Amino acid sequence: MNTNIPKTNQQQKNSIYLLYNLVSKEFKLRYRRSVLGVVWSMLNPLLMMIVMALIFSNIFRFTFDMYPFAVYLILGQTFFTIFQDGTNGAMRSIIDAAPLIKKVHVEKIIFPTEKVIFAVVNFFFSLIAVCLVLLFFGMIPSWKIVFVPVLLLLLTVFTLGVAYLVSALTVFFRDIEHLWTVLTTVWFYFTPIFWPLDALRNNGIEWVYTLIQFNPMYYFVSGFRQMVTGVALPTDIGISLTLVYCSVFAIVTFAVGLFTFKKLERKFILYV
Amino acid sequence: MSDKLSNTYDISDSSSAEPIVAVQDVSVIFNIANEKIQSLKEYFIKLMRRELMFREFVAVDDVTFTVNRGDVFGLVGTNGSGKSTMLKVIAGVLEPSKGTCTVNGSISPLIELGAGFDMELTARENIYLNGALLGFSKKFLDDHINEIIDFAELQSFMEMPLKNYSSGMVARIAFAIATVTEPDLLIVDEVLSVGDFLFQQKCEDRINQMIKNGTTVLIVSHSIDQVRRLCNRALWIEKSHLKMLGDAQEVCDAYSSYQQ
Repeated sequence: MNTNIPKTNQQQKNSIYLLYNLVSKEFKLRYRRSVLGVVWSMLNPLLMMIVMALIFSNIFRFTFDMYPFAVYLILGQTFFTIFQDGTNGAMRSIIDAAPLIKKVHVEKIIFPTEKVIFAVVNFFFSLIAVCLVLLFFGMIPSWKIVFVPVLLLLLTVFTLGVAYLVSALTVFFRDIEHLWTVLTTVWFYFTPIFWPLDALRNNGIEWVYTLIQFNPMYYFVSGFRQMVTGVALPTDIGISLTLVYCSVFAIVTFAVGLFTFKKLERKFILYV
Repeated sequence: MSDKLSNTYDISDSSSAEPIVAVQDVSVIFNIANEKIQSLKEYFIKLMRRELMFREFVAVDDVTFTVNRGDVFGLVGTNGSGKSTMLKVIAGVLEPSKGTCTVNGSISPLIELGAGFDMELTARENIYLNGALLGFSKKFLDDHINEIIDFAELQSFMEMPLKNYSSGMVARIAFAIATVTEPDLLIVDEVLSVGDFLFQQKCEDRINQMIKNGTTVLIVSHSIDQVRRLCNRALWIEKSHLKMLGDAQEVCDAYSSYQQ
């Protein structure tokens, strides 16, 4: 389309307003007619944590004594949820917006972006649950928590990259819808969230340990835990190095995702 | 978009020679075989068997025309002739396989029933959501919300979810939002056939008013009478080809005699 109208400031502002509208729509719809409403965003991770804490700290008896295991759990889980919810939500975003894409000229990238932003906003609500757990165990966050916004931004960028990739490819191959749900679950198990990385090394499962060094989510999750608790586990690589790794993952993934999306978006209308 | 509207009149005065829509040698080719494959398995099986045939379907074949400022331009043709495909190209939704399509000015598409609406949201929420999709700012929508509601005549139903609306009521809201500004180009795709006769009359009046104020209108319709009544120029597309382009009355005469 050669409309040749340069993107004005006003149009960019309107795109942000559209994004805001879509996110608020999602919130309204999710909690309409539910009694507890938005409290669920906070209650969900809390309940998950309680279940996992009961199972994994009591039954398996991990030798984890740096800080309460429940804290370890909820920090990893809430942070990973951004990635999981963001990419899974984005997956169908283009297909669901089909009636619109077919009729109006809109920036298509807004739809997966909206899903990721929604996941991040949800994360802020689950932070309340994190605070409650910290309070319950009488833990005070370390000063390193000031780095969390940077890490959160990097995770958002990383998630956006994956979301663009997945949402664009799903238009052409609907299999990805089923595949990705399974894949993120596997990814969840494959990231040290409800088990400490130490346990692997001690049990002699060395190859898994090596493999996990290539898992980007491991660095995000462990970085988040280090920043909040101020405690570095023996397997952790330190905050500055974590930030470097995460930046590389985020930028590369975002570039690949954005490039793929922009390359494919012209053909969306033929397949949605 | 709203900001640009204040300049509408300047534009039409200074450059009235420049057509608002210039369609140059546009062809749209669909890949029929491609469209059917939607799973990886299917794709690889076909790839292995070398069955990835590419049967092409030409929806629009080498069409050239221009729409001038102030025109009320009708598009006619039998079903499946490529009218809607042509509109999609002009609206910037579909890229032509060959040729170029240039639009100089703001476009407001009259969205088909319900597209872009979320049935779970209330009418008021939908007005804001849909307005944002059409590129309006928050301030603009705040300023014009009452105007939209008044035009749709649905004041007492604003807090009701859209799923409880009848299709005619949904159409009223859709029309009210799309025509709240006076864009340079208004695209109307068969929407005038919904709603009761009073509202249809109201829509036509509104379009007539916009035409008076200098908006160019592009109408796709199966109602020859409507095209005759509203349009000054018309294009007849038949089986993907441009069959006739010219004065609306002449094109309509030729088209209706072809039908019989």
